[in-house]
Amino acid sequence: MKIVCPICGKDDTSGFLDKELHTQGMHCNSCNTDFGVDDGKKINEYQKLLTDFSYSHKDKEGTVKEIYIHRIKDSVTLTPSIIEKGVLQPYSPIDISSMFDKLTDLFFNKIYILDWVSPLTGLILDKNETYKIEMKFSMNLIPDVKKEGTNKFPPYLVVLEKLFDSFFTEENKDNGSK
Amino acid sequence: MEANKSIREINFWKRSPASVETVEKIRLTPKADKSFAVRITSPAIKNKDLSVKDSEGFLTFLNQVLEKNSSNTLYEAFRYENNTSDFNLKFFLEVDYSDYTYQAIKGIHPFKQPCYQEVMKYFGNLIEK
Repeated sequence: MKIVCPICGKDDTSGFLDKELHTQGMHCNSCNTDFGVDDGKKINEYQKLLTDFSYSHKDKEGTVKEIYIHRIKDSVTLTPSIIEKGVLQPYSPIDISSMFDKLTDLFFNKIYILDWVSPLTGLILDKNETYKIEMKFSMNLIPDVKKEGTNKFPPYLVVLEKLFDSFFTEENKDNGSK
Repeated sequence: MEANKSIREINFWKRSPASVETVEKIRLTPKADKSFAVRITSPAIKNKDLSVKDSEGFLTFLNQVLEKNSSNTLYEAFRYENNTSDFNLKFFLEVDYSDYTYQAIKGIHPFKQPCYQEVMKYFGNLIEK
């Protein structure tokens, strides 16, 4: 299966290895752009140093779904919340320590989040759909990464939407009874 | 001098002397006659051409800059590090090659980095001319 380009969404892509620059990555023949370029260390650094990941998606009706992932040493929690018609519906934090490595691998190596074009802006209407992602890294060794868009979205955003939607379950709702 | 046919595009931005939040961007693309077409994309769009002679001089300068900076991983950069909201970066130079890869240099140390002042001056002149 061909890898989809995170910039244009086409799958006319191929891998390359640059012996001179000691890098490898993917190239999109449609938009003529390289992505996922790495020297074998840099992306690993992003994965290891990621401490905070926040995701927010507002649909055209104004419903906001938020995911906040926070890592302290080896402990990682994911906290979902929904703001619907101005009312916050909190959810209980979920321990995702065991899947955090897979998650960071997804972010940086599978959906190429660092290569996403940002900001993306489509036609602005009365009701707009927006998304925002912010990543922070340990001791600010890497500058914060922000990705956002309005009415125009990166091809791989749908992967995150589907993944994060699975955390908004009825049983996980925090009704204040605990 | 190696013909510039292997370069697909050169992108550069630096912070404006007037405001660090404003960036001045320039793009150079090679033409068939070995000269470069220059497009300033920020603060205002402007197009012009470098003469063949000036293009040769530019390539010599570019090769020197890349060579001097590539020995230091602190200054080498990846495309995803091209982040104008990261104020550690004072300039970002990215050379796209036609063989599917690129070389990028980030400017972060005004007085320590090889060619820092020369890069700012050279591209600053191109943007202003």
